[in-house]
Amino acid sequence: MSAYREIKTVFKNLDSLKKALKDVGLDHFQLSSNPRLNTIQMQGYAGRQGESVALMLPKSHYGGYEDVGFAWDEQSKAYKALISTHDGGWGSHRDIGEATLQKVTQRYAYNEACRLAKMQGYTVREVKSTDGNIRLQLSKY
Amino acid sequence: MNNPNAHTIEIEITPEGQIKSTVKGVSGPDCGRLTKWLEELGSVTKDEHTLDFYAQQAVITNQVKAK
Repeated sequence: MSAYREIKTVFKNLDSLKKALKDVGLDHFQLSSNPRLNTIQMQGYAGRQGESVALMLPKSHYGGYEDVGFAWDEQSKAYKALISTHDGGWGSHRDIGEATLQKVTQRYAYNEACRLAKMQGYTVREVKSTDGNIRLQLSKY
Repeated sequence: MNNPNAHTIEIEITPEGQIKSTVKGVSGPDCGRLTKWLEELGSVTKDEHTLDFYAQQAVITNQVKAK
């Protein structure tokens, strides 16, 4: 007796997003005083100049060519990622692109699923996995 | 399990951050009600019920027809 769903993760909760960033080692970021206002202007190249976000990962700290961040979208009530077109680094530079965002997304989904499940009264157990997937078993008796 | 509402939800989160959830131990339309909160995680791209869900619905339909 089961129902199956697939869900595309969306960054709705700021605390779970901040925790996810720290989980993947991105623990230095700037936040707007109002987390639902995009007041931090980013710097970079190829169009990045002038975009504003609510949470920014500064290139001055990470050594990338451009700032990256997360902008609050009022329509979807979620944060949208504005990242670099490339990932990783060369020399002393480190850019934050799609590969890193996927890691952040996985950790966000984990943090948020645990948070919501506990709020709903579930016991949460993580099942060991070696294939890169995170598996959780939520139980309610 | 003595509680008739006892159930488990298995969640798999892929390396890309996609979430796959399976509810076990619940029949019929209660599945949707009990897992509505999962929609807070993002946008639902697939939503499937098993044969047991439809079997439950068929029982209800037949009972209505019999009246």
